[in-house]
Parts: sequence; C-alpha cells; structure tokens
Amino acid sequence: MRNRLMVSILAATLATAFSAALFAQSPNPGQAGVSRDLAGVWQYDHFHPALFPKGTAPPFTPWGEARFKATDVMMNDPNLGCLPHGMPRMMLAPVPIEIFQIPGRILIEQEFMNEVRQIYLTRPHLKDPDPNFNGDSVGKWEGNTLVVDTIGLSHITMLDHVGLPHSDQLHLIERITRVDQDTLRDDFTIDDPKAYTKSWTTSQTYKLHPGWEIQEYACDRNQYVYHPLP
Amino acid sequence: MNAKPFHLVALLAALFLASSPLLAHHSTAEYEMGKTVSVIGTVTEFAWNNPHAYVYLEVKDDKGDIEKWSGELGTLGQLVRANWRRDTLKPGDHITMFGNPAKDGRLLMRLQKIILPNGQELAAQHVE
Repeated sequence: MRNRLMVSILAATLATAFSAALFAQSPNPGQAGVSRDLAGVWQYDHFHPALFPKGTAPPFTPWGEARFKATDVMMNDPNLGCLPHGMPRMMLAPVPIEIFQIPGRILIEQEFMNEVRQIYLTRPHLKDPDPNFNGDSVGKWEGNTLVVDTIGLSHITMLDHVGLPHSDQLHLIERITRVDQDTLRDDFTIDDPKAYTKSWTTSQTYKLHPGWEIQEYACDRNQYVYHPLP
Repeated sequence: MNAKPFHLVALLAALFLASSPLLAHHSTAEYEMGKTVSVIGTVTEFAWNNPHAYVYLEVKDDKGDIEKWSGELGTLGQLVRANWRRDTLKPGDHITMFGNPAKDGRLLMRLQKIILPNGQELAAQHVE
C-alpha cells in the first residue's frame, strides 16, 4: 500500500514537471494555431484565380475601376514578361511556396521565378521605401499567429490573376497561422485608399507537402510579350 | 480539323479533368475550358522549358494532309511533380493529346493529358 502511494506521488510529480516543461516551450498556450513553426513546402488547397468571383463587385474607387477596365491580362500581366508576381499575388499563385525561419527573419520562396520575400521581425518599416514587387514587410507574433505588415508595393503588379489592380498606396496586413499540422492559413487585408473605397479581407489556405522540393525556375523560352500599363 | 472532338474517350477525359485544379499561372482565357479535343500524331519536338513546356505534334487530317498541332503544358516544376521528365517524349513518338482547344481556331490546345506510345496515360499535372 505504501509502495503504491509512493508510485502515485512520483507519477503526479513527473506529470506536473512534464506539463510545466511543455508550457515553458509553448510561449502562448491556448492561443489559436498549433505552433510557430511555419517551415515547409506548402501549396494552396484550392486555386482562386479571382479574388472577387463573377457577380461580386470590388469596392473600387474611380481610379481602381478605370485601372481594372484598362487591364487585359493577355497583354498587361507582368507575368507575361516573366516578372515576379509581387505581393500578395505570389502567395496566391498555382505553384508551391517554401517558408524558412531564420533568426530575425522569415523568408518565403515561391517557385515561379524563385521569387523570395523577406519578413523582418526585429525592425520597423524602412522610411519611404522604393515601391517594388514585394515591398517592405515587417512581422510580429500575436500568440501563434504571425502578423505581417507590408508597404512599398509598386502599382505595376496585380492582386490576382484576372487583373485586380492596386496602387502604390497599398497597405497589406496578413495574419498567418498554422491551424493544424498540415494546414496553413493566411488572411490578407487589403487597404488601398487610391484603388478601393474601403479595406477588405480575403483568405488562402495551404496544405503541407513534405515530399516536395521547390524547383529551379528560369524563363528560358518565353513565348509571351508583355505590354506594361503606365 | 480532324480532331474528332467529342468521341467518348475525350468526353470521359473532360469529365475526369473538369475537377482538376487549374494549370496555368498565365491566363487560360485563350482556351475553351469547357471543351476537350483529342488528336493522334507524331511528336516533332518536346520543348522542356519555362514558363511553359510545349509538345509539337504532326497530325494527318482526313485527306492525308499534315496539320501541325501544339500542346501547351505548365511549368517544369508542375510537370516534375506530375512525373514528367525532359525525356518523357522524343521526336517520332506516336501519342494522343487531350486538351482544351484555343478559342481562335489555332491548332493549339492546353494539354490535359497524353497517352504515351506504350499506352500509359500521363496527366498534365499532379493529381492529389
């Protein structure tokens, strides 16, 4: 009887110590998302060429609507010139992405053009960055969700594959969460007062592909001709 | 065109592939995505390149004249994941191509799958 009591006390002590250790490794127990480990090769679970399906109207400003109407994706899509998708479209394309976590930064490589975006975790935004394809991204953790703030995006890229426009005033906020072992979710909030009358949010989920490797991608025989819009 | 566009095999292939995710990062606007055609012919070139690989095929029409067809594929990364390789096809191979025809009547299709000389089917992209 005494031995049984000792065993019970020992088991309870070990269980308490073990759970304390678990909590020590998990900085935000109880938060949504299984972990802050985002590393791996991911691809969308459903490809959505258009962020606004037919029959739903984006909240365009006159500038945004005029830009959308002026766009012919068979002529003006920067992809036709083998230029990068840019943000956020690189996260919405029908090719895989790989996420790398290194001290102070998170890197995301997308297979098309082997485009890489960098998310800085330890510095604020650059002051007045030059507008470019992927902009200036800074991130912070809220529980197990990575919140990424991006500015400095050139208006020559498109938000989606049917030519939804944005301006260089685009301010993009993403909330990236690993919702379970095999699933990643990115909620994108588009705030662009030049192109849209109000901010709006869209989401993309991704599945983990442990056996996949990102392939080299160089446009060595491009059949298309790109006619940039101003 | 001797494409025999709506024979049973093509129709079944269309039904099967209609549920597949979209292939191209470039627009599919130039293709009739609701239609599938098939042609049988001889490979003249297999262009293993980005941004899109291509199969070039010579097809004899009903009069015995040669039609030159092109089949557009996806990126090399997409093809590798669908078990294609740079030597999957070579000039002289006798194959069947299934795909969505170009809207403008060119002898061009967005490939859905091929049937290899040994009878094996190969889808144009990875299927889960």
